[in-house]
Order: sequence, then structure tokens, then C-alpha cells
Amino acid sequence: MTTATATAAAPAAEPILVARGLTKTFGGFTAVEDVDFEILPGRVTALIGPNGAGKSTIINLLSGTLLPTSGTVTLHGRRIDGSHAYEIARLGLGRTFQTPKLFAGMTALETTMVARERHARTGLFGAALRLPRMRRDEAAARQAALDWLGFVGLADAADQIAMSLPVGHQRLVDLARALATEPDILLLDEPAAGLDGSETRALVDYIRQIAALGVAVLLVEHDMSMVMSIADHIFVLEQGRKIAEGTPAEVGNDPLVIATYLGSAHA
Amino acid sequence: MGHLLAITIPSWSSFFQYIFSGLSAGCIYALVALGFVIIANVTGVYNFAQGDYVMVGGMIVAAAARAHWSYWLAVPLAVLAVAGVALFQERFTVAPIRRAGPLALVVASLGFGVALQGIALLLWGKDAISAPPFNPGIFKMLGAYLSNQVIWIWCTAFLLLIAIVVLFRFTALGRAMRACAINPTAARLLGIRIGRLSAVAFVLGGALSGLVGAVTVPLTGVSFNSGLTIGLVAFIAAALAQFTSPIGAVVAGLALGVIEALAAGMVSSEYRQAIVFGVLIVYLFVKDLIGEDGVIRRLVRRFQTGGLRRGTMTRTGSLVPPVATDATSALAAVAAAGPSLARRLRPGRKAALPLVGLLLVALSPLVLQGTPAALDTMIFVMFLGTGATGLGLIMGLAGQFSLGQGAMYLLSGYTAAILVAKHGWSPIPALIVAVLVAAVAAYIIGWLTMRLRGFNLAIATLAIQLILLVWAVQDVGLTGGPLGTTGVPPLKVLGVSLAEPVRFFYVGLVFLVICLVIARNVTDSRIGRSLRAIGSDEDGAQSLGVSAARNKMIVFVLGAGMAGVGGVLWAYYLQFAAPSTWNVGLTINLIAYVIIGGLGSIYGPVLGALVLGWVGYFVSGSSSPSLGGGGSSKYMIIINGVLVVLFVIFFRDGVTAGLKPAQLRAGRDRVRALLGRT
Ligand SMILES: Nc1ncnc2c1ncn2[C@@H]1O[C@H](COP(=O)(O)OP(=O)(O)O)[C@@H](O)[C@H]1O
Ligand SMILES: [Mg+2]
Repeated sequence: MTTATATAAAPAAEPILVARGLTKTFGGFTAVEDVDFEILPGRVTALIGPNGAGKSTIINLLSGTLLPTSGTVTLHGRRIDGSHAYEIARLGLGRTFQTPKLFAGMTALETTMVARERHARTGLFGAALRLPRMRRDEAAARQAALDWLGFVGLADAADQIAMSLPVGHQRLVDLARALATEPDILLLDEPAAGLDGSETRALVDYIRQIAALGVAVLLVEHDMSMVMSIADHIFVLEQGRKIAEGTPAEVGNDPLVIATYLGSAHA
Repeated sequence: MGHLLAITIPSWSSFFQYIFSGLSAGCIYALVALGFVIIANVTGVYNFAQGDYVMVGGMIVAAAARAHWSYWLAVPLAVLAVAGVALFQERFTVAPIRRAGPLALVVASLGFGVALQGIALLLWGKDAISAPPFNPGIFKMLGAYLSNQVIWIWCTAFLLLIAIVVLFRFTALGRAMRACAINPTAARLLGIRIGRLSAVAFVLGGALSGLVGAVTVPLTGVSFNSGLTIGLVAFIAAALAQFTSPIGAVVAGLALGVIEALAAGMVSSEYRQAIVFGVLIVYLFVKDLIGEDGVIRRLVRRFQTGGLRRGTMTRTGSLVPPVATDATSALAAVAAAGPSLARRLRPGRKAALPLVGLLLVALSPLVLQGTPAALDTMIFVMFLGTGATGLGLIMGLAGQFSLGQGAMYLLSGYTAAILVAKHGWSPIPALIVAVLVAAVAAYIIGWLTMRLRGFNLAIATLAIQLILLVWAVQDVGLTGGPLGTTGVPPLKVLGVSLAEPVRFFYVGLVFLVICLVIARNVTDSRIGRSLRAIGSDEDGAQSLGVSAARNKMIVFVLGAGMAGVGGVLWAYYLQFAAPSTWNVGLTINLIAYVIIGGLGSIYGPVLGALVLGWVGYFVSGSSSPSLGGGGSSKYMIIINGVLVVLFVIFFRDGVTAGLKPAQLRAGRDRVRALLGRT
């Protein structure tokens, strides 16, 4: 059982996000079917599966980019399925995109500052009159954004146009801006795609540090060696259904997984 | 409102009279709506010039009839001419900017329609003209007396519908167009050429509307701006059919015609169009209530989810990036570069150029003082500049298309005039209340329409402006009717008289500068940043906690408030409020200022107002742009329309781009590309 495994792994921690019976159909096609899972704070949970298995769809469902056809999602014990994406983000869920579309014409710093919306205290009046309060807000936002860009090693690129950066760096800007919302749970959609070896190693390091801060990380990844090395817990998805879960060792030895996923990946 | 609208129960014969005349009008709406759907489906363009095609068709037939031409010659000529106009529009104002995005396409089509109106005004004057019926005489049916022309209209509509169905179902061309509508990319892969189909769709839509205009002119007459309401009602019919179902558009068009006729007969003929527009508002409202993302569903979810508090922070401490590993050195570098880097990145614009411009404007009375009409031109630029600045934010920053900015002038202008003239308020409190009225109205309109995609906001705001114009004329008790609200005293604040033109100019300038400063601050602020993010990638922005609806709403309300300021000043300066001052022409002018000044530029719209204001001064000798809006300055309409089209095609960054060589070069390249193409 899901719960049994999860609690075995972390007796003390309460799940931060719980999905039950999550289902999404596009027209007649069922992309995600009746999936249950829980995500624990401070852990790296991986979601793996072949292309088209429905991994990105799950991230879109959790983050509110897509509405679930049925099923429930709770974050901190609150139902969030059906809420707007921005509301969910404000509740502490951050995400990255499989193909990040950074904001046109904005520098990496500005892009990351957009993520500080949740922390802003001033509204239209503050902005229109440029009140001191609003300037303090802006200064704080700039500092936080710079800090997070620095965290992913892009401090030097802060005032470059984000979309003109190399693809790998664009991915890191996407990560920095998701982190700058100060999420409690972070969903990463194939973050290592387009990164070279040393960048991937740095990314693994960042993810470990993020989890060490108590953030729950859901990692969607193709790179099995990366998943095996950092995941505390793995779900395996195939054709929209969850076919296995457990620790890396358990999943690695699961005959069904070897046959359907690892088998095909290494064939 | 001052009086209640009573419903009169008609006799059977008059009931049928209403139904039949409604069906005639409905045929017009249905066919024009069909044209909308065909063009929108095949090309993705919401063609705002469509109503003007009807006008051109009608004009040609009416002019030919005056010259005693045979209808057998005039009607085909009108159809061919309008089809040609449509083809011209497609080749020169749609094809070159197909990839420029929906806003550019719609604005270009609006500009093209305005240019058509201007040409019609020049050629045929501003009074309505008519033509004798094809076969004079009347006949009686179910107690209703009908002109023989009605038979022509009904038969034409019926035959056209059959022709369209045959075309789409049974010919290769029709199938290609349907494929194109369903999936343009796939259609292209199958070897269908979108460019050619787009031209065909426009020719078809043009021919349909031209024929409609030609056949109906004996019954309805035509004037240079009669395409506006036809286009609007037909657009509503097409919107009711979601711009996808041709049959739905026809049914909706017929239904709206009948509703309009029944409303005219049973309620009030002045309010008949208001009632049709009411159908749209109710539709938008219901759609917003029950849709996938509608209010009801959202309330249910809100209830299930136990209430979401905005901005809830669940984490006790804040999340700070750990300083470790190889990131350390990078972070240290930031800390070292800290203050200077931060200063370098602070949003600050090169304010020198706008400041010099403003200074010149501020000194202009020194030169203009002797010429009252010239000084007046400058004063009106102040009033127009506030609303144009607001519209610039709405269109350029929030990416919304409002066709109701003139309505905000009207609302606040009347509110202030009535409060001051009839209730003895002093000007400052009246100004504040009037601006708030415009802002609240914008909030309500935005709430009804903003969450819907497409051009619902444009249509709803235009409909609201037309309703308000009717109301201003009809509600004599409150507004003073066609004569307007008079008796606004000369402006005096704290005992200081400000009514004298030079002083009033500076009053206007102060308010304009306030609007500009606010516009700049908001653009540079978190709100501006969020809106630019939304404009670039809405999903990405929302995933960071940015609410698209909220930020767009803020700017829409702010922009309306700026128009409100302009309206109040206008009423104080002229010392009255009149419906003709703030009509749809004003809205079009404001759009022209924004486009010519440069979409996305803060000072551009004011520059646009300045340029067009002075063009108007020299072309027509008229000081008041309100007259230009009303149509008596006949050249300005064409100039507005043509300039809008040209700027959308060649200089999307507006005249402010002239200050930036790269954008100028891009514009020149676009001219070359277009010339090379043809
Ligand atoms: N918006 C959509 N409309 C229709 N089908 C979709 C949509 N998004 C995803 N799908 C389909 O759902 C399946 C799962 O896609 P996705 O979640 O992107 O897979 P992956 O596991 O590779 O991330 C795929 O077959 C994909 O074609
Ligand atoms: Mg994916």
C-alpha cells in the first residue's frame, strides 16, 4: 500500500501533498488514470516512466495548469484540485516546465522577480505613487531573486535577457524563479534535459540542498542513474497508470518495471 | 434612470409586422455573421470591417440608383466592388501581418473599416441616402403589410445560404476551407495553401455582405457609419455561435433581428439596440456563470476546498538559498558587486526625451496664445491624452482590446456635469466621484467579460458605449437629452478662476502629467512586470503566483479612470456635457493615438494625440477633436483609419520608434517585404 511504504520510509513526516484517484482525459484519450500518491517534505520523490506515460500531465494537474477530470489533490490538507494555478502557487507549490518558455524581453533577474508576487505587500496605489513601502518591496524582491539566481550559479547572468541564455541556463532560470516563490513543494519536469555532465552534477547537488531545507521535491526524470542516486522514493508510471513504487532498490528490482520501462529504455 | 420602459402588448397584425420586419433585419445580421464566421474560421481574423462592407454595397447601389442605372447593373457591380475591397483588405492588411498576433490583425481591420467610412463620407456625404425598391409596391401577409423589397431580401438570403452550404459541403474548395478551420497546421501539411484560402474567405465574406447591403438599401437606407451597428449585432450573432458554427450564426442573426424588432415595437424603438446588446451581456454573464471555468463551478470548488485565502503562507520561516558548494563563489561575487549591480538593474527609463517634450508642450501657450483655435487644439490634446494614456496601458501592457474608452469619458463627463450643474457640487469632489464612477463601471464590465478569451471585451465595451449614447439622448430628465447637460459653471477652485483657456490648459497639463507619471510607475512596477510576463507566457506567470485576471483588471480600471479624468475636464472646459462629444468616433480616435504613438510605449499615446490633433487642426481647421469624432471633419476619419492600418503593418512600435533606429529599420524592411511581394 502507498501509505504503508511512505510511512515506513519516514515515520515522522506528514505528507504535504496527497493525490487520490487522479484522472485526466483529453477527449476520449485517458492520459492519467486513477493515480494515487503522497509526497513527503524534505524528500526527493521521483516520477519515472516512458515518454507519453503522463508524467507532465500529472505535474500540470497538481499545479493547476490543467483541471483534473476526476480525483482529488490536497496540499497541506486543503483541496486544491480545481483551484487556479496562481492560487496553488501562492499556497506554496512551485514548478518548472519541461520546455521552459521564459518571459520575452526580460532579464534573468526580472524573470525571477516575477516570482516574488506572492511576497509583495503593496498594490496599485503603492505602485502608482511609488511609495517608499513599494520601493522596499522591490528591493527585497530584487535581493531574493539575486540570491536564488546565485544559488543556481547564474548571478553573473542576472542582467542578461533570459531567453538569450544557453538552453541549460534557461532551465536553471526556470528553476531559480520556481524557487524564488519559496515553495513548500517543488515539481521538476525533466530538469536535466539539455544539461551537460557537470551541469547535471550541479543540478543534483541543488536538488539535494533544496530537499535538505525541508522542501518536498517531485522529480520527473528520464536519466535513470540520476534518479537512482537522489530519489528517496520512486513512482513508476506507464500509460497513465501507476505500475510500481518504492525505494530505488525496490523499484530497480521490480520485474514489471524492468520489463516495461528499464527494458525498453535499454533495449 | 429617469423613466421605466413599459411593455406594450401588440395586436396580432402588428405582432406579425414586427416579426416580419425583424426577419428582414435578421437576414442582414445572419449573412454578415456568416461572413464573420467564414473569415474567422479560415484566417483567424475577427474582421471589424465586415459591417462596413454592407455599407459600401448599399452606398454603391444607392448612388447608382440616383444616377438612374439599372439594378441589374448596379447590384452585381456592388457585389464585385465589395468583393474587390475585401480582397484588397486581405492582400494588403491581413496577409503581411498574419503572424503579428490577433490584436494587430483586429486593429488593422478596425482601421480599414474606419478608412472605408471616411471614403464613403467623402464620396457620398454624411446624410443617409436611400434607393427606390426593386419592384415598387406592398403586399399583405398574416395581417402585416410588407414592402415587395422584403421578398427580395428573404429570397436572396435563402439562396445565399443554400449556396454556402453547397460550397462548404460539396466542393473541394469548401472542404479545404473546413480543414483549414479545424486545424491550420495539418491543413498546411496536406498541401492546402492558407494564403489563397484566406483571400477566398475574404472575397466570399465581402461578396456576401456587399450583396446584403445592395438588396437592403431600398428598405433601410444607408449612411457612412451605418455599418457600425450592423457589424456589431452581426458580431454578437457570430459570438453567440462561438465563431464556429455557420448554422448557429445564421439562427442567432435571425433571432437578434426578431428580438430587435419586437423590442422596438413593444418596448421602445430608441432602446431596441440596447436590448439586443443586453442579450450579449446576459449571454456573457451566463457563460461566465456556468462555463468550465465559470463562477458557479469555481464557487463549488471553493466550497469543496474549504476556502483559499489569498497569499496564505504555510511555511513558518522563509526559504533562503543555502550558501554552499560551487554556488558559494558565485554568490560572493554578487555580494561584492551588490550595490552597483542593483543600481544598474533598477528600472529607470531615459526620462530626458519625454521631459523635453513635456517642457515644449508646457511652453506652447506662449506661441499659441494669439490663436484661440490652436490653443484649443492643445487643450483638447490634454483631455485626449489622459484617456489615450490609459488605453495605451490597457492595450499595450495588459494586451486587452477595449472599444469603450469613449464610454468612460461619457460616463464621467456626464456624472461631473450633472453633479456640478444640477446639484451644486464643487468641481473637485465631483471630479473624484465621476472618475470613481468610470472606474467602477470598468470593474463591472471587466468582471463580466475579462475572464473570457478573444475579443469579448472589445464587443462588450462597444455595446456599452452605444447603450450609453442612447441613454444620454433619451433620458432627458437626467441628462438633458440631445441638447446635453448645460449650466456647468466656469471652473473655479478655491476662489481662483481657471476657466480662461491658458489657465485651463495648465489644469489639463497637470492632470496629464499625473496620468503619465502613474502610467510610468505602474509599467515599471511589479504589476507591469507581471503583465509583461503574462503577455509572454501566461501559464508560466501563473505558476509563479501571478493572477492574470487580477492584473489585467487593475490596469483596465486604471485606464478607465484616466479616461474619466479626461471626460470631467472636457465637461468643465466646454461647460456642458453632450452625447455627440463622446461618441464612438472618440473611441476610434483614442485607438488611433495609441497605435500611432506606439503600442507598449508610455508616452506614445500622448504623442499620437498631439500629432493627430495638429494634423486635424491643419487639415480641417477645426479646433475641437470632438467634431472630428462626430464626423463633420470629414478628412480626419480617413486619415485616422489609414494611419492606423499603415502603422499596424509597418510601424507597430509607433512614432516613438522613430527615436530608435533598430525599430525604424524593421519598419523599412516590412515596407520592402510588402513591395517585394506584390
Ligand atoms: N493537451 C493535451 N491534449 C491532448 N493530449 C494530450 C495533451 N497533453 C498531453 N496529451 C497526451 O497525454 C499523454 C501523456 O503526455 P505527457 O503527460 O506529456 O507524457 P510524459 O510522460 O512524456 O510527460 C500523451 O499521449 C500526450 O499525447
Ligand atoms: Mg513530459
